[in-house]
Amino acid sequence: MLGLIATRSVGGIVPGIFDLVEHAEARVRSGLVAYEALLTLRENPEDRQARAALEARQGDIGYALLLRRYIENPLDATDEQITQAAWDTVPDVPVLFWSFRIMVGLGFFFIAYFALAFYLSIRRRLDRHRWFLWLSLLILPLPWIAAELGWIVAEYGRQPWIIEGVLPTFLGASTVSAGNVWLTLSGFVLFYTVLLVVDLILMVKYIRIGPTEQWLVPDIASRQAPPGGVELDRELHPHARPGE
Amino acid sequence: MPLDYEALRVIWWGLLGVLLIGFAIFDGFDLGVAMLLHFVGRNDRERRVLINAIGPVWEGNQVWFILGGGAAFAAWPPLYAASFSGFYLAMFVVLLALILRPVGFKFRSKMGDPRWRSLWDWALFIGGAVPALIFGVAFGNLLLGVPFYYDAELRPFFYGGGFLDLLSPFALLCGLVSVAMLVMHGAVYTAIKTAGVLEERARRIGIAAGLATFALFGLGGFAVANWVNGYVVTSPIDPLGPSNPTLKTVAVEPGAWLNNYETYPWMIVAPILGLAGALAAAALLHVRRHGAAFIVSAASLTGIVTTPGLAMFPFILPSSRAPDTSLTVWDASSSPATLLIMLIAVIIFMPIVLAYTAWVYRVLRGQVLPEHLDEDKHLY
Repeated sequence: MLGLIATRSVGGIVPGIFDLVEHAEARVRSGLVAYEALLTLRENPEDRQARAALEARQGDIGYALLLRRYIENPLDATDEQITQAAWDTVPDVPVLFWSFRIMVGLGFFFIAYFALAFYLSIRRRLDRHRWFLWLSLLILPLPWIAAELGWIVAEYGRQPWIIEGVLPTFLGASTVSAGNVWLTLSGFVLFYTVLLVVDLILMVKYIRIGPTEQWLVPDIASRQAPPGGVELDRELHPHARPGE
Repeated sequence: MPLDYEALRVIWWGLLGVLLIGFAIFDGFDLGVAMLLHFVGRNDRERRVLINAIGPVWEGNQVWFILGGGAAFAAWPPLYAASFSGFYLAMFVVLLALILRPVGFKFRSKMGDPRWRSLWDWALFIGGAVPALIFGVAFGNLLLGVPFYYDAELRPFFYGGGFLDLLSPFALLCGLVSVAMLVMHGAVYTAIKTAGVLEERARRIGIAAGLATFALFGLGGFAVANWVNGYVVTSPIDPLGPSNPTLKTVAVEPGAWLNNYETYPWMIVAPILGLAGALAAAALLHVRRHGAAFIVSAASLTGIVTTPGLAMFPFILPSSRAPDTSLTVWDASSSPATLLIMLIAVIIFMPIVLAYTAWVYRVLRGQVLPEHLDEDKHLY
């Protein structure tokens, strides 16, 4: 199953961590050749040998940049630092293992839930079972959790890259100061929290008004309802009193 | 390839201008109406008329702004990186103000309490005035240069450059030009869309704002000629060269922003359009030709936005601290393939966007009157 997802084939091989690190180390070394060629070209754009070396290995140059975390000039890197940079490409396995599985599990649960909801709906029994209504209410946060886990799989799982294989995250960040980032982040959190509170006040107000047939709400509050109120299905709501 | 790199770069420089002009003309009037909310509308009913005059269209108009940001991201990535980081806190303030707009429009009508409504009226005012001011201030800082440089690996760095540093006297003057012109534009729109006392108040404010736009924009031109340093590329220019802003040399000279107008005298059309349009808008409002006033007001906005763009060409973001790494049309674009593919997308989708925009305004033509508030329950 995982092989299908990872390799999009039936017979593909999913490499293990040690294979990946070995592969990454080779790419760091190959990237260093490209990096050196790039520096040569910057001094002398006419150098054909350097251009050929760069074109042959430019796909690996991002791996050489991983060394910048440990050393200013990647060309001076020691063997230990190259191994360290190769190990940096290993993701945080337990977090991704569980994030991915919970996300996919939730996806299958949603399919089952909506199949059931569809069945109940075509049988016009959507509101007959209390447990189903409770379930529907309680699972409201799950799509959000699934989306957040997908975000973790994609963004955290891609680290140390901001662009896989091309640009390490720590080199891709802007030079905006941490203080400014704190300021805007806390500013947005505060601002949206205030808006959330206002939103909740309004929601509670309109929930209190309730889905009555005539929407006996003065002025503007009635504008969301169709003129003349909502027609209730008598079969489904035998006890509802008109005009309530 | 039918278009070479040079042509694609010039076309995308022009398209960035078109998007900014589209933003100024379309979103400009609803920002202007929001700024006029307290001055034209004196009670809740009057303000509801104003809000509903822009209620159905302001969101669509604001998409021009998003499109401008998207176009900068796709066509001018170094410009996007340098300006969004360099104007970081200014962008933050603009975003807070712009976020007040949707909640202002949607929340205001949900409760009848006068204090509640007054709160959201002020939110809408801030949502109109703050972006109008800061966009102008940003243009002023473009002309002054922004304190950034690109290192050899083409990563942008910034010096200090706090929010308050952006508010120099010249930049504030540009901010006032922006506020005045959008108030003028919003007042003309209000005069078209309303009747009676609202129309009359908007008309009077529009005349004053038109004259203010003329005076402030003229003063701005005087400042650029006499007090503001311009930038000149002093090394040979290769319009087909790589997008690497570190390969040229740039000189900073007083009054150099007027060089283009000497080299290409036809460019003088832009500032004349800006000045004459504002005066004509005031005059046409005076004789109650509101429809014609809107056209000349839009022409004035076009001239005012185009003037600094033409003055700065080929610069799109001059650097005040490291002029050599300023961004120009020739060294800050995407690849030719990206520019061409996106140009094809523009050619396909821009007519569609313009067609449905025209259709929406046709459907929504006519005045918003106080009686409509009682008839139509779907109004804000």
